[in-house]
Amino acid sequence: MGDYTFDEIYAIVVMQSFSGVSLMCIYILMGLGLYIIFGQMGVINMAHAEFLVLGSYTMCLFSKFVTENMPAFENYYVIFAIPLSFGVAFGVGYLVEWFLISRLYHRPLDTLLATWGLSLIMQQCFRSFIGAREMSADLPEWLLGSWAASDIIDIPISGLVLLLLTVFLIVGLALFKTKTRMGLRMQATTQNREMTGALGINTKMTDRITFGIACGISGIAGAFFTTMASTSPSAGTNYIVDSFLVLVVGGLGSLVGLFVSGGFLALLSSILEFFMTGSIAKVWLYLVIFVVLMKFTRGLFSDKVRS
Amino acid sequence: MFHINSLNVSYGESKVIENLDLELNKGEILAVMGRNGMGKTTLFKSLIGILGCGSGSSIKMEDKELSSEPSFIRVRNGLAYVPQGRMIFPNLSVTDNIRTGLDSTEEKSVPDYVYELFPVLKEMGKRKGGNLSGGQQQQLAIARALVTKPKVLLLDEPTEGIQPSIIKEMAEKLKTIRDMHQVSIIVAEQVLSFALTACDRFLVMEGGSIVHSSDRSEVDAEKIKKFLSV
Repeated sequence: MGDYTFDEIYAIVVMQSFSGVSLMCIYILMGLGLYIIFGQMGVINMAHAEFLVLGSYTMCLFSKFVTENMPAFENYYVIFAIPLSFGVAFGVGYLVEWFLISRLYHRPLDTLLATWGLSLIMQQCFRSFIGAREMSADLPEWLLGSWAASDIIDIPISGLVLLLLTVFLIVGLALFKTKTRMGLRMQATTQNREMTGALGINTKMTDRITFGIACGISGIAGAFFTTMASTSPSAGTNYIVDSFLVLVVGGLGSLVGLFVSGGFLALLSSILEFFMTGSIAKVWLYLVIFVVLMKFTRGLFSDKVRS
Repeated sequence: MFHINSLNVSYGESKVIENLDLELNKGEILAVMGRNGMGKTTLFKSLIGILGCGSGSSIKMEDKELSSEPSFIRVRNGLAYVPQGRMIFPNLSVTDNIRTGLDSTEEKSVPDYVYELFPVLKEMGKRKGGNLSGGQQQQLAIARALVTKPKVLLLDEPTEGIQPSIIKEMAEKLKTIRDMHQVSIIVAEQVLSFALTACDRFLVMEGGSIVHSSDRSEVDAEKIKKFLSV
């Protein structure tokens, strides 16, 4: 960094931070899905990244469909593609919980193995039914380009839109969790399934919907992912480890922690990668995570109650 | 109104409850007494549906057979359960803990009678359940069960971990609950003084079977005490 002036470093840090916004949104949304499945339901879902890919493919295929059949609609399809990505991933997640995960609660190793197998099956399904080649969505013009906030700062519009949608989703989920009956059912079921059933709540249905919502959020992350890169059957695997780290650093069970750690890790990663190679940047990133977890063993924002 | 016939419960090969019959009348408070490991908690868990029961077992609430129904259906048919150790949701606020019980009812907010019975729960409404004392948690667990509008309330060792000075108060509270809500109560207990204050009928369990039964009018405290001593 010795060749840069202070002003240049400031500009680089600001620019890299904004270019890392899209990555941050992906991390946060992936982390949000894991927050529900791992942090709340206690299930380690190794196939979580494949729900991101499912959302990505939904967006790409819908984009292709609109381009070929309804070209006049091209500028607006994204508005419908995002809920569609959620819906497809929710539906698959709902069925996965029903036929697979529901039989494996309190068996973490079995769940790990089963969801890893599911991940391989889903990847192979993508290859067989959609194809192994990379695929991308045609983004509408209003999502392309950047907004010049000042002489030295250009903010990508897609990043800004993703950030707004991510904040909207987090606030929406927080309100859903705390203000609705379904949210209360989800919280109670994840804290004590047997007791929740003994209070008149249908825990099996709650589990299915909870798992479906978590997968659906990953589907939205996948739709967002198409604004950054093209999709392939194994595209999600690059994000699953980092998403778990975001969740652990933030503190299991904390939405604020998730947002803070997702932002912190994505922006730090983006800035470090400007100054050094990707792999060395990863080493530094993991070192920072290591130090944070040494100091805050339960994450940055963990809940504290009497045991 | 509540009938249990030929109830069998096993953990694998090990039979814990064998051919147990029990009847509960409307408005009755029944004590099920016995030392640790005699099957009281297993009985309650099987009644509420946390544990399955063996073939031939029957659990009927006003002629509705519940033995093969999941827990939430049993609750919707009038059973409520306060487990040993309370099992409140530690990360939910006191109010939200109570609201979890409203799911099977038409109510949208916590009914006033809950706070009349347990004023401390109103004061601590926003505090997390896990941060209450043992006695407060017990009140919360009873309130949470009560808002499901039960016909039969199952209370598993409510005095466990509670200050001796408030045990009598709790016994009186049970009678108030019975009178206010016309609810029948089955309470598993080891504290005889509590049972003698609160209950109308006394059963003693040993080895998964009922070995002694008596009404309040004919209760022999010394005999029951012998069953409870190690």
